[in-house]
Amino acid sequence: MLEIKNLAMAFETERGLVRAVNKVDLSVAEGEVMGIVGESGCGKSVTLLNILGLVPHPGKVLSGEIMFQGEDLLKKSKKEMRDIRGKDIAMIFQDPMTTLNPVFRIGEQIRESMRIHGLFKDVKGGFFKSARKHAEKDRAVELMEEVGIPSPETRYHNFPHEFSGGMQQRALIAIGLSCKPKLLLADEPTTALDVTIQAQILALMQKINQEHGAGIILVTHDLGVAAEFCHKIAVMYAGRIVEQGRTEQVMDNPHHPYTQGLLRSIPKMSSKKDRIEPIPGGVPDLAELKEECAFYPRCAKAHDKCLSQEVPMFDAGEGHTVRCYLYG
Amino acid sequence: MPVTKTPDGLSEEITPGHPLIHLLQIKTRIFLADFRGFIRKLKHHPSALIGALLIILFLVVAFFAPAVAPHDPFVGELSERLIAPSWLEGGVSQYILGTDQQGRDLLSRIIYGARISLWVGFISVTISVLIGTLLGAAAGYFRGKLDLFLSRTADLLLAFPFLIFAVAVMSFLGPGLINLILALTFKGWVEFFRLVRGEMLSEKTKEYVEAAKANGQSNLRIILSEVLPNIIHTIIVLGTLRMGFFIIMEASLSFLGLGIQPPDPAWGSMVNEGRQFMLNAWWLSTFPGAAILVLVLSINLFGEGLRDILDPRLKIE
Repeated sequence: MLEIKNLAMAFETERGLVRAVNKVDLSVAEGEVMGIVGESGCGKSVTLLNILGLVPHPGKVLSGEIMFQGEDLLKKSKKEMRDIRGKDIAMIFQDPMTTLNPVFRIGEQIRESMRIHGLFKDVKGGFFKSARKHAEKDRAVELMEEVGIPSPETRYHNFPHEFSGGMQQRALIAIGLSCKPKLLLADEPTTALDVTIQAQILALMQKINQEHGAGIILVTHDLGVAAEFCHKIAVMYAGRIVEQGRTEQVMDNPHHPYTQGLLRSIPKMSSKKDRIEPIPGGVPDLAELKEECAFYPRCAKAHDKCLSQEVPMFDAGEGHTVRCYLYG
Repeated sequence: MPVTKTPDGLSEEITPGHPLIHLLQIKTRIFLADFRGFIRKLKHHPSALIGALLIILFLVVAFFAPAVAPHDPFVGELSERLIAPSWLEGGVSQYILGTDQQGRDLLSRIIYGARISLWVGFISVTISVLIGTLLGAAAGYFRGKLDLFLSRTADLLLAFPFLIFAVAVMSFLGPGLINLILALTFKGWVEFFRLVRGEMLSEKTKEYVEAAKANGQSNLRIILSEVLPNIIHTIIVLGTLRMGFFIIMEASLSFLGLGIQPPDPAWGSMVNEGRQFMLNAWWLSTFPGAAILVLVLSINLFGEGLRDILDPRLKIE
């Protein structure tokens, strides 16, 4: 359904091009949940914004295409993109508190999206289009019920600050679902929430995925969340996808030294060790990236070949791909 | 269909329509929804309450001027010129505040003068708010060359003192009510432009704007129906405070003979006319001056009270 091919984008800064997304290939089938995992600043959120064509100002797409239902989103006009946003592709943001507009009632904000995309534009009748208004309202209440907001009839009239964080995120999911999108982009939807609420929100998203058949791209830095929730996982490092495969392939049998390092750095209950094992070094400066493997300075298994040229994606079997010469 | 009641007693939500209509609906709705809470808070804010009551008094008097004024403000008996206020020696109960050099009733002229002051203040603030908000929102939202051009223009206008600038414009345009309003708004929009632009810059970075974009909303829509409702309270407060300022400017220009021309009873020109009789008929200048003072003071009291009430960070109980 969604296929990103060879996408590269960069921010034009005074220090030169900052390559935030570098030759990314991704594909999400209908009803599939794809996880993008990586540390802060590795380009995962920007990849999502690219899909919606919402890259902030100095950003520019350098190459590639984003095929959605057979059409290239990068070639669409502004108007066409506006029609797609919120309708075919909806996004859920990280911080629900700031994502909801503080001056409007929750119910109105859910209705807003339906109204923009003319979901009930065929419903006629009534003074001031009251029939349509009621149709939208009924649907909004229905949605609120579906995402697990208790007593939606009354909560409909609440303002965002009267909701708890978890309820706000549910409301945002309801907004995202209002036009029955085919693809849901979730940018760290659980990061701002506490752990028990995280689990509830993830369960809700899982339910939506199963019941609506909406594809989901989940961006997270939490490997645990990704492992539990996603069908496929892509690991990003410094703007590149370094490993991609089905969840069990990536989690049970990580190939790339970076993925291995990430998994080792998760604290385990069973482990007797006092300290977790960090990956030495820090994230490279995206403005100074060269064609070589960006993980080279931190990699325990690095050898000279890694510096010589751009590392291609190697197939490690059954669709499991790795950007590392160890598997070439 | 059962009508659901919201906590604040509103039975129906708004229908978002065209952005402009939407904004209007939002404004009215916010106003209605908050009105009760607003009145409650006002009661706990004595200075704002006094300001509000005085403003209402001025408005009522100005609106019903023909009924309230005891005499015709334009016609006087020359035989009854320069009569002292009724409580002073030589005063007559017929003329409460006395009469001017043409025998016209001072109180009636002050009452009619309130109309001019309030009109000029209200109209010039409204136009300034509209222009300033529109340009400020556009500049803050779109940035780029538009912002650069508008901001530099604003800086340029700010370099002149308000009164000097207004005097220059008035001497170019000539006196009169419409020219007066033009002169005031010519520079008056700048304050609102700067306020709205700044607010827009900070609101624009908030996630709800990003979310609105991700939801497929157009720029016009985001500006009018997402961001503006979030900053409207600051515009209302500044608008109220600027209204007091504009009234003083109108009075100053009229005093200088550049604003409203006699025989129209503008407070500023009344103060000026009375100046020559200062030694033997002090009331001619004093009472119109006091009227300016009280009106502007009450507007400022109310405006500052509004700021306290509308600013969510300064919760008063």
